[in-house]
Amino acid sequence: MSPHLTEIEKIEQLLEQENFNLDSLNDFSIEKKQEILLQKQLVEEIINLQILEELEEIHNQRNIKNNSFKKRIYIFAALLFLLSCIGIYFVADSIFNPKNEIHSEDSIQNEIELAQKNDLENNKRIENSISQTNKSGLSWNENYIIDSLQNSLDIVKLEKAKIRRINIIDTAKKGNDNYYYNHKFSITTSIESNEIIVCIDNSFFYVKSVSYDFVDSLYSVWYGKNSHEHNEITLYRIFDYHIKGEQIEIVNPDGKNKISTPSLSADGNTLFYSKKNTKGDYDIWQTERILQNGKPTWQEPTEVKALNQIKSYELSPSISADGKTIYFSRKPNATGCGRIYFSTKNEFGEWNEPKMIPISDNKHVNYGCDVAPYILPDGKILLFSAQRTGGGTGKGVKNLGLYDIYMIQKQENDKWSEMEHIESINSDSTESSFTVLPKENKIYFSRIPTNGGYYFQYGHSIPIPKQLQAFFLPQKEKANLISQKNKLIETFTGKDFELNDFTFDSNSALLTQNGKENLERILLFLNENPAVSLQIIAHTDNEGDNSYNQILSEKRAKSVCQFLESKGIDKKRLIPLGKGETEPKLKNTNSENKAKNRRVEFFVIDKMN
Amino acid sequence: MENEIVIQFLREPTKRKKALEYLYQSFEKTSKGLQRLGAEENQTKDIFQEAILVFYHQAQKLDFKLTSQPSTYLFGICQNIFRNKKRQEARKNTLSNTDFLIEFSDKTDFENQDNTNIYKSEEAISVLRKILIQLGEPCKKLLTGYYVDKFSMKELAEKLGYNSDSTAKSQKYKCLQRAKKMAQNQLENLQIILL
Repeated sequence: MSPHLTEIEKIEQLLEQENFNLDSLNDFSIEKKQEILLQKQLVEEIINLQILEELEEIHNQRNIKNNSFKKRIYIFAALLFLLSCIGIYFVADSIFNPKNEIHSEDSIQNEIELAQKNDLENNKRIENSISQTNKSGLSWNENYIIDSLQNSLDIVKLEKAKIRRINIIDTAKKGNDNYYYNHKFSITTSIESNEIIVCIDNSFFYVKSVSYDFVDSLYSVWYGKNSHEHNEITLYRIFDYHIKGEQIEIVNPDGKNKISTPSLSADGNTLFYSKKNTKGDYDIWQTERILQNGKPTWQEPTEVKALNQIKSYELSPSISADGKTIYFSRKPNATGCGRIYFSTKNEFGEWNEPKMIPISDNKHVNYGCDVAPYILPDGKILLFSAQRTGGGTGKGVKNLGLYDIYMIQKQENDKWSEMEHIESINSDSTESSFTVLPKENKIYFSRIPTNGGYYFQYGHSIPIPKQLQAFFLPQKEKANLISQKNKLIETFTGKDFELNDFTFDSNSALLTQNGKENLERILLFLNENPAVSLQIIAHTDNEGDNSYNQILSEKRAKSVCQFLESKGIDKKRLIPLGKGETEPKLKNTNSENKAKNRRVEFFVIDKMN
Repeated sequence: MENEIVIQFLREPTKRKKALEYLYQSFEKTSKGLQRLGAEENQTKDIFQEAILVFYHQAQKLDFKLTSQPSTYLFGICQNIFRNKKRQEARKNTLSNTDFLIEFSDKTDFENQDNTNIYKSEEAISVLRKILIQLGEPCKKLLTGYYVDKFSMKELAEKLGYNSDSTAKSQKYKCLQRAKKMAQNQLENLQIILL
């Protein structure tokens, strides 16, 4: 016998101590404690299973004794059945066998055809069930979107009715085995290149140019069946019926990795995600897309070591639009509570030591279980999912139950505001994984719904609140990829950015605060794409003198240039132009149209072409 | 059987079965009683067996004293189990199966983490049982032989044909370790759903 004891034996001795109780565990770390409790429960279940087995035996014996007469009848019936089966078999054999031998190849062909037909029918049935669910009031109509777009003023005040579930589908197919899956459905988008990466079943699918239909076709339905035996819940799943995306195979070449929660950079060329390592906890990894032989190719993923800690779980990364800050949640162990961390890039492009978002004065942020952060493109508003139950969880934090989505805003001197509950999208069930779908002007989040039955549904989308819409105005059309420094940048035909009315004070070429903030984004674009120059064209409405408008528009275009120059952009890259009232977007018939005509347009000019 | 004898028998692995058979005699009576309370006929067997489990664990405690008839005591436990079940079902109807997530997340709450056992939740137990069933026959024999029938390692090694008691011991260790690993992985998956 070896003198030193294994971990299991140590725990065993501990559990066998006479004065053992749960309180005596308080000296251990949380992880150790959980391990001890797990072992205790396992041993208890070993006993329970054995006893249950014995009881089942007793139960059956008693039944047999009680029903000995019935038993005889059953045996008689079974024998009769068996005899008749044998009889039928012989008769059938003598009739069909010769034919079978002759047409054996045909019969295989028939079988294949039959199988194909069955498949088709099966698919049809699923399709039918889709339209049925849509008919039953779960879908919404076009009017509804327009309405909600106009009325949505404030992210906090959105009405509940605007939330729409992404397809609910019947659950005809079953999974292969009855484990609990962690195949969570998650989604990430690039703000500038309008790409979407969808994570399902430990695979990433890359999708370009999405439409409403696409969102409609995303779903992941979990179907649970409650069996009486051991009172277990079985989850079945069905998905990827409609998804026709290109899979990013390099993140999971053999299909064995457990990966989740992707986050795509603004240009769509860097992908961060969480991956389960060999020790069982999750770490943040990244992969980059570069141009190889004229084809955009994802590179071998690398671990982002600066962000990861041994044993802790790093999950849900979210990279800011400028690519300089990354937010993620970290849990001490599998069952611990998440906290939101962030890290910034230093001048060498390396990640600094991650810091926790500090607990605020009222003990709001990071004072319960906080997970799944998502930073909005402005880099100032952070949305995350948090749970607040029990005592001591901060003053005045509203919580409708389980995890709800909250937002905090970055203030001056890097402090964060108190948590704001986004009532319109929260319910008494779990909401998390907030993401925006820029091209669709939609927000995506996940919810485990409350409506009876065993369902897990992921995917809710709502229109983007007006407050945030400014960031999604550039509707880029057909993009083509060109290479530059082995990195991808995108150039576009047609108008690339547009700034609206509020960029300037009325009748003045001075930039407003709003205008400056919007220009920051363009600045970002210029900094990230040094080979690109920009044509800046200012327009006015037909109010006032023609020549006055011409001069005003020229002044405004120049003022935009000056602002960008003051931020370090080379003068040669900026081409100001004033068009006055000569090119209205809409007819100057009412004040609304006039407002739309007062604008600044930006055209990207690629020097390499 | 006297109360004390029943308890005594439950504690001794060799006589356990006798005691269980004795307790099972009150099944029909209990089943009818439960049905009168509103239980379905197919539920009563599970409830009754669950109650015997509780009784069994109670009987293992040295200071356990039974003041009433075993059948009365069992019926009391059955009533409690049934009431809990009903309550849970009512909650499930309003909250669907996010229920266990509540249980889980309640228990993983940072403040309350110290004094609860997350592995005692219904869902965790069903996962644990499933894992144990999947461990396979050799492991099962070894583990039940040791923990339930309370054989010594030496006896077990002889019975199951291991070379020595230390091989049996290390085998048992491996079985338990595997079950633990599986449990940790699968129960963690429940958690990941929330991320």
